Amino acid sequence: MALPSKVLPGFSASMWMQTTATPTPLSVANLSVWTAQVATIVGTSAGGTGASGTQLNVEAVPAFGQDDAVASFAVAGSRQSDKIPTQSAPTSMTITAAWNPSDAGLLLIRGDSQNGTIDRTFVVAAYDGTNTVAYAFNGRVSQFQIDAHPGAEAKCTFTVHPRGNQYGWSNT
Amino acid sequence: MMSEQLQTAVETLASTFQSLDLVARALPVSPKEVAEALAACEDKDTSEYVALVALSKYNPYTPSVKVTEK
Repeated sequence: MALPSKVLPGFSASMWMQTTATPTPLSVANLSVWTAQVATIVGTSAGGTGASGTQLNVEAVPAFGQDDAVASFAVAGSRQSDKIPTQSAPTSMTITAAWNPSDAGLLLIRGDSQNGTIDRTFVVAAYDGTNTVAYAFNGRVSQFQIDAHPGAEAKCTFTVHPRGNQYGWSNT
Repeated sequence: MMSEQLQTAVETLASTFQSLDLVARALPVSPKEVAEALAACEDKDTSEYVALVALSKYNPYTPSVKVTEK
């Protein structure tokens, strides 16, 4: 897979997703291909073409990666015990965004959460004005809550659960 | 020109939603052919290149060196 080839000084991260209510997610191999694949999801403001993607206007891009899981062993007579990494899930991304009932992206997310089985390709893009490094993954939306507290701006919170092994890095 | 076997393996990897490592491990291909196809692949930003890299990981190829006795 193509790995990020440079460190981007002074970049900004943004989050993108496929449009349409029933999208066809990218295959695992294509999640690592920028040209005509990941680039179509990332918009022009982050170096892509945006032909089949839209930006998710989130407060902050949350942490992503791999969760921790270990099996612990103790051997009689040994000073130290042992922790062996075991199979673990990709990190779920809980995201907060300002709730706007006219935002097409948030409405798609709400629809996904109500369905529960829609696989969609999401992209986290780091862009420095010239180059983009993209982390693309397929995921399903589970939680979706609207907090319309009268004392503050209405916001929504949703959780994307990335599918196991379905991710890739690409760059341009 | 790839053999039908390698072509099928590349297409399988390019379209799968499973782990590339898991699938690549189970596909029978010629290590030499994979190495040659990888060397001939000019565009690295393609699913074919990603598939060939996954195949080469589990089908390493080292060209044999002819040793001459003195």
